[in-house]
Amino acid sequence: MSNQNSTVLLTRLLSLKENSPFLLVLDSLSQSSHYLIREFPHRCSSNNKILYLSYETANKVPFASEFLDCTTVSSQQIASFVKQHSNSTIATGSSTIAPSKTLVIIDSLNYIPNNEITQFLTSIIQPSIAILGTFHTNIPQPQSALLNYPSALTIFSFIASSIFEVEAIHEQFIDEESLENRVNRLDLPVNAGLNSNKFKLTLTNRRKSGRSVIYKFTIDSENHVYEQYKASKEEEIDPEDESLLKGLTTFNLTTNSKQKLAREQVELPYLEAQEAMGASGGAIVYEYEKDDDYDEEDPYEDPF
Amino acid sequence: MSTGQNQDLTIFKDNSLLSDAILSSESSLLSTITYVQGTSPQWLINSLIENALQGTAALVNNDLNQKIRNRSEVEFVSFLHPLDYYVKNCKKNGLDLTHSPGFTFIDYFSQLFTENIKDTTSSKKEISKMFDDITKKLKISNNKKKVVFIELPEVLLQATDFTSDGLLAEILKVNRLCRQLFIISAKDHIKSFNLDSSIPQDPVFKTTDFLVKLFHRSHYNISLSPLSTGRASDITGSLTISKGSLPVDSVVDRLVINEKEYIYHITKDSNIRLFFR
Repeated sequence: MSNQNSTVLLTRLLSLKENSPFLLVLDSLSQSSHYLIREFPHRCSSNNKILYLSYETANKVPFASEFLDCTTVSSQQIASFVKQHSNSTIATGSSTIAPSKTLVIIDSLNYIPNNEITQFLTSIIQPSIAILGTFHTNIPQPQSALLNYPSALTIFSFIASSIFEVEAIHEQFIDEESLENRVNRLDLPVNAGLNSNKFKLTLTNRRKSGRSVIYKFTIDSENHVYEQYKASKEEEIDPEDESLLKGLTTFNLTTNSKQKLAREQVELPYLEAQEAMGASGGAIVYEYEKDDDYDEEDPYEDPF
Repeated sequence: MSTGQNQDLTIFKDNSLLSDAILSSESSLLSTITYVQGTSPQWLINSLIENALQGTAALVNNDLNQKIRNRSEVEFVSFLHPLDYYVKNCKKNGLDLTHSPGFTFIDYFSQLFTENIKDTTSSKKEISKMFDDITKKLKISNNKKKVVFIELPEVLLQATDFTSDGLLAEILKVNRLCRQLFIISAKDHIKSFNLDSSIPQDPVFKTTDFLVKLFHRSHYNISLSPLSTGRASDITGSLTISKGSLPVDSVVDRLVINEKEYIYHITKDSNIRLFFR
């Protein structure tokens, strides 16, 4: 798919025009899903209703039509809340219309117990609903009481029809390994591009056929611009690039064009032999020379 | 380092510690103050209490020198110290907490396991009651400018059967009733914080789960740690102010975190000297 088509797919997913019932967002402490989630209401039309199920959000979000504090209610109450509000009409000026599609945003899926995930999702999912849930990948995964029961992340990733993985585009001067090490100790570095409104997005979209396509984008949520992600220069080191060898020692490590030409013309030993005899389908061909003393009776004499 | 220029501590780009924009907003902010053994955040907490109550920060910011009467109400919940400790410590900041009308202290240290929680194996009800008391006290006054500090709430996870999700839900209720909530927690690696832990009953797992989830809902984080290069006689530690998972300007317009790393030195006479790193 071309560059343009991948951006179209992303925009269609964000505006709920693509049929994708469960959109999973994977975030971390270095890049939260906050800015990506805000792209959905920005792209959605006024015909879409947005229900916000909150497990960790203190302030009511301005774009949500309805807001439910899930910390104080049971999962049955959540299901009936979604059912009730997804079917109700939207008031637009003087008239009311039925919502074309309802977006249910769950601020964090980490609070749903591992063994209740499928039950929870099936209780709220409907053809007219798209669920958008964030899963924080940094949070330690509890061991299940059942042997070999999959982790929450595995279950969510398996069910999801689209997976959005957000990553920070961190500054060049920071080593990725030491950054991860610091974040894992809750020691977040400053001015390193973490939790910024410009971030990297890896989108995995699963088609109906089951085939999944993966695209990488750079998202600028301030200007709502999405571009295909271009790997930084550092990742594209050309092994033939001799400029890297300059300034390392006083010795000349580079080759000039004349030396290169000479190198290419060197005939490697046995190359000719491979051409002449190796042509017979990989068989070992032994050619007797005039001084070979071959005794048919001696079993150890047979070279094969 | 002693010849270096002393710096003023600021959290936001408007050169404030607790910004007026937060106190006069309708939103609720959450911040973490995390530390490890050897870098007690006591001096910082005292300065934040002082700044919340009267707008000054005598020990850490010379520019904040205008006293504002009843700037905000402060409710301090401690699982680590009794009231006397703070009364004594804040005297250096020019505060008399015993006669400060805007200051409420809830002591959950002195009688935590004798009065407040009698059965640590079935503590849910008692802990919910403790948090209900906090929210009741917050609802008494109509003043919306409220700042709440909760010191070392993870003690409840480490000593009782209470779950991290339960504690976070209680904290969320408190957060909704105030403009700014500070959670002060220890994050000593391995001992109390380890991302590789996986046993749900393990206190380390519960604390880790609590802290990471807390970081996911925070607007800014303040971290105190010793120098990574080793001990130095003229430096106590480093203080980092970093952005949280939620941007501040999403709840308070045009307020920007001043992301900075400082190194600080607490002198023998308890003065604080801050330098940019």
